[in-house]
Amino acid sequence: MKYYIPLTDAIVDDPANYSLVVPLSLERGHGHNTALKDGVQFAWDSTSIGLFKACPRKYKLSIIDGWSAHSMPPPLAFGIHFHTCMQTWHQIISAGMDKDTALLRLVRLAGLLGETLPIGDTARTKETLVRSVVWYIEQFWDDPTETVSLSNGNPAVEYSFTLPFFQYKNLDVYICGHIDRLVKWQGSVYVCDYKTSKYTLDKNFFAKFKPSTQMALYTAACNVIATETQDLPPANGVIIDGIQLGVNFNRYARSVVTYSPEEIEEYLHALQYWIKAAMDAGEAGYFPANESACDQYGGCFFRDICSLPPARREAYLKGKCIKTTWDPLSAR
Amino acid sequence: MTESLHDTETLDKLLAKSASDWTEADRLALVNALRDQRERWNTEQKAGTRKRVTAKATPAPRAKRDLAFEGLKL
Repeated sequence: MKYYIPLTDAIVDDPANYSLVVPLSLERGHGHNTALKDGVQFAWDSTSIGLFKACPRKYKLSIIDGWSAHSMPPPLAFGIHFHTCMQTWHQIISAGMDKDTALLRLVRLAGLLGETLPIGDTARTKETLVRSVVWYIEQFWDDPTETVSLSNGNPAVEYSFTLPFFQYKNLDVYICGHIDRLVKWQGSVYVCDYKTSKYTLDKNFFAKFKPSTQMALYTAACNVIATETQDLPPANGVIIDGIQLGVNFNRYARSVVTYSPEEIEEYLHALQYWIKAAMDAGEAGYFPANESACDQYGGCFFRDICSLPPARREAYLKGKCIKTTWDPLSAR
Repeated sequence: MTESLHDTETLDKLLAKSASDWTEADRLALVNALRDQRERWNTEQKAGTRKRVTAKATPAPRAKRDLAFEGLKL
């Protein structure tokens, strides 16, 4: 694997001795999932919670068993690369690089990452990734949001958290995640997130982010961290930067989603319910399918498998999928 | 456009080069060409033409280092 070093504009084989390193491939997790103990998950992120809420069987197949598509779906791959580019932008700006030089580094990074994108989606290519990044930076060149500094002085960019939440079945249960960026805007603090999509950035697009497992989790996590360690300030909510992807264009729109303390309290209460239900399912080894979720988001990846008799599913899975590990506890 | 695009490097050709081989001049040309593409697309959008502005039809001339990256607003 190759790595890009944005502070020196170098591409290297060995990332040792460099402070800011960007891997130039889409690596997926493999091996033992450290968030599980005897088949019961105890460390939860928004992805694993969201999967269980949608369909316990889908959660079991994806997280417990680790089945996934042979190649990463283009929307996921593109989203990951866009996040990587923007994270790098904020990190090198915070390191003191001027914006003009930083932009040239970002262009190279977007090109390098774009060359690793899976084929098959004309709106998610090397060209569109480079354009998405450059047009975004142009759009928000004088961004009124300001990156928050952590208590150690580092910028609050790609902040990973693992927070003790409650105890259940003799296990300490944690909530985990990665906050892209924490910003100050108009006197309040917000979590920032980027969402790339081919769809129009209208009211319907932004309506997806409240209620939202992910956005509420990030806001809640910030507030828990603020109370317990003061490493971060408490957040008012989330600023979503929507990026519409076209073959020859991009559009951008920003929306603010706020959560009141009462809404956060309600969310955390419900989160406990869902996690306990998932842990009960894990202990019992029983994960029923939720058939009403089969048609969501263009159709569940496992729909073909679930439409087979149980005795034939394993063989079909081995033919259609590979084993990967989605471990909320693994460092980014 | 009077100049033939056959004689000028275009955005799509520049993007097709390996990113590990992009020089600073290449990247400056890319940024300029992408700015130009955005400006022309905005113009078409405002005029209501819905005309595409493709990378193939966007020239990517070499530029000097001291560009003003003012940023374009939609």
